[in-house]
Amino acid sequence: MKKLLALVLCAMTLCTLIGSAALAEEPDEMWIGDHTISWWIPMDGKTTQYFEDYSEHPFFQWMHEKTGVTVEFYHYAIEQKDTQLQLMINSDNYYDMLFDPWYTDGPQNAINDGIFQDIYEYRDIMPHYFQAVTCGDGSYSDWEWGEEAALYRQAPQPAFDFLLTTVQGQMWTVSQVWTDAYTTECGGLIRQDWLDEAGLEMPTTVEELDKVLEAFAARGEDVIPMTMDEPGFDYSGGWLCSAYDFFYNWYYVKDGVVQPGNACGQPCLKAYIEQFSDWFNKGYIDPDFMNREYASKEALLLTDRLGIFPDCWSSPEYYEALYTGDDPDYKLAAMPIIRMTEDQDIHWMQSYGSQNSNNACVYPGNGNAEICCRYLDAMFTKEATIRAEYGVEGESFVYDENGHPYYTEWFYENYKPNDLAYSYLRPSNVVGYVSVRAYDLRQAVDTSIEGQKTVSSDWFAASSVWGANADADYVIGYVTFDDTGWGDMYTPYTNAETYYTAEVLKLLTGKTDISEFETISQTAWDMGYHESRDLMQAAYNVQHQQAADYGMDYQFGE
Amino acid sequence: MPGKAADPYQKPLWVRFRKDLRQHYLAYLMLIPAVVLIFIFHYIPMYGILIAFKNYKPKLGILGSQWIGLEHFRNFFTGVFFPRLLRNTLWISIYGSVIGYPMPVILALLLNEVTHLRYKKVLQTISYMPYFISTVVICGMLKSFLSYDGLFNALGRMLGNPPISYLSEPAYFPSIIVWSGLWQSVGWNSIIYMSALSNIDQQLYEAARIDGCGRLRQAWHVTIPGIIPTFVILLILGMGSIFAVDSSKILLLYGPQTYETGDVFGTYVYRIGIKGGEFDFSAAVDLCQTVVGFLLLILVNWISRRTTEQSLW
Repeated sequence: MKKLLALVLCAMTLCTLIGSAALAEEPDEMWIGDHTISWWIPMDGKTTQYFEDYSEHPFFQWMHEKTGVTVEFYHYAIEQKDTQLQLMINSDNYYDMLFDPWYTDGPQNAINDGIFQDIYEYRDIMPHYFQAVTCGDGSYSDWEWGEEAALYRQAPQPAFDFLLTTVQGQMWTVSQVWTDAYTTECGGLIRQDWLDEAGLEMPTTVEELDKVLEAFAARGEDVIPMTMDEPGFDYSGGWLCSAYDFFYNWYYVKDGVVQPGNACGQPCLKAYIEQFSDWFNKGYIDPDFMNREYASKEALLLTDRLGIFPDCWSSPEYYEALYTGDDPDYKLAAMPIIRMTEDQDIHWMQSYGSQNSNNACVYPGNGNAEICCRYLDAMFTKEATIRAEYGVEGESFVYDENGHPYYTEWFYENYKPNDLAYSYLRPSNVVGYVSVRAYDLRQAVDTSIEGQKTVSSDWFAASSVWGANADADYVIGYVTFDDTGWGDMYTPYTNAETYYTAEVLKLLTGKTDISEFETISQTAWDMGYHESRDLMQAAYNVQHQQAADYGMDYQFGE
Repeated sequence: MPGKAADPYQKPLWVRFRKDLRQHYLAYLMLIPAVVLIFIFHYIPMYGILIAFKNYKPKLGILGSQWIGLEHFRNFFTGVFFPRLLRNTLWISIYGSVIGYPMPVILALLLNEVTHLRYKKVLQTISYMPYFISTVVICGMLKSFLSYDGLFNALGRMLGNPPISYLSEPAYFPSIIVWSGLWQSVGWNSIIYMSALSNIDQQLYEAARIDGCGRLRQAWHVTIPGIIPTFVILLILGMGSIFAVDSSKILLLYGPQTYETGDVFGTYVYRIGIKGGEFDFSAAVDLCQTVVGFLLLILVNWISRRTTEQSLW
């Protein structure tokens, strides 16, 4: 009897155990465990209006619940970034994760010096991130839905993981991965109503732009027809330099030949200077362009004093919404890239879809590298991405019968640009997949569309205009150096840049006669551009060859 | 036996110190935090000067980095920007000294002559106020005032002058730095002279008046000699930092268009050292400034001792 009882009890115990095991929940793929890591990252500018710290942000609170990991954030002021980073390097006292750190000896040396973790070492525990950077065809984001699904899908970028790979084959960062929606994020905005009043069409060539500037200047002394970025070039999008077939930004590569961004000494730069100087002396360009800060340019635009404004991450509608002036016809439009002739090919087009951005580098020295990599990978899971882009299920979004997320009525009714979005959606500088739905929401929502609500992206529309009929063939990408190569290149480059920028400004503003152009350019070339260009060319060649060996066409574009 | 009276100062230093310590132990006690502070923050970090002579790599540390001797110094002195940096630094510094040293004295003298107490206090408060505004805000204000549409150009237009983009003109840049610095500090710097003025024996003024001196002659023969020692000491101290112009303000105001007259040692060190990460080279540049400043301080102190009998030591 006792034996029978014992047998029954054993059987019951076994059943209970088996039942419990069967009923136990599947372990959450995001769960990591109770750990604490630190993250050195500035706060997204607008997020600061709502939160003291990212740990207060609902997205990160949700991440904490899902992963068990506590992140201690250290937010620095943007202008303190370089100083703090250098102090960190010299005190050998690092946070676990570093936002977009610019190690002066380059990423390869950062890994060699034990400051950046080689992410490839943790490839096995980062399946979601590596799917995002290696799938190549954009299939990582196949949950995107609706009419715009194709737009919101990840940018097909076969070489994306290669962009993050150093010359010695190590991965130096975890990057944001972007949608293909934007062709470029910068370009020009123009007063459409002023164009209409002057009876002029949208300018597309330098010649047409000249006529437009003349018409704008005729509106009165208070009007500034066009402002420009500080050094006298449009580093926001290349919408004017492109006409002259160069781009003022670091280096670019043309037919395999590396060039300094300002095309030192080349006839294309001389032609640009001559045109700019002519416009400047006629009063077509902001006389204070060398000192004017962004807020001041914005103020000019919003007080009916500015005709053309180079800008990034904005749209005509954005400023129209901000405008409080008296002009009932106030209307802006995105300007297409200015060309020399209508059929000119433009080869500069930089977009987030084709490059790394808002990087999170992991410091291996604190013993938390594995936790950091797992945490970063968790941010690339579908669940985290949808949470980042759509907010809270049942509140700001629901899934339809096909498993597609869409925003709820409540969300649209309560949505205000720059308000609710910042409470629900991931801060803009945090790594993860960026489908741009969230970015659209920060700008505007079009609730006029019938049926299932979609987001109308003014921003996207502007980007389409800015990037129309252009490719990225001249984009050099991220060139990494071995050993001391970066420093050897950087010092002569900086010397030449310091000299040339100042001298070119004098040419642009007519303080120095253009006949001095060749002499000044030769001095700059001898001062450091020559040496630094050759070193950059050599590094580019090595990387280009490696890309070819890797089976990739490293050239951007298409 | 006739002999010299015992001179207590002839006793050994340690004995004298012990006696002094017993007599003024409270003062010494109060001195300790300052000494500790100076030792920790000024003396211990001095070993970092070593990186000026090394190819410094943070990973290897100060002692582990390769010794390269005077290479950084050679590179600096033979560098393309050295003459310009030297010229700009000296010009802004000397210009600043010529304007910046007498002006607080003049302000103090003028305030000293104001007899209406309330009016005097209001004037003093107004003159001190800019000192308490942060450099960033000051620079923001300057950018606004000096812009094409700013206050100065508005005044200029009223006088029929064409507008000027002041911050784009290299010729104006040193004056902007110097005069804005004066605006910021003249009131504050006058405090020490006001204090010196209050220490002048009133009987000297009385005697001067009896001798028939008017206010101007009283100022010339009593007031100015009374504050000269303070002026000289501050001047000597200032010579030690002649290469240390206020680069934070320059950094906030300058740009490539004004490098020609605005780029100084401090801004160069910031660009190369902090932004470019070349701490070893920057340390060498900084060391040069400090050594030259120190030598100048000794020289000016010696000249002052010989000519005015005022000196730091």
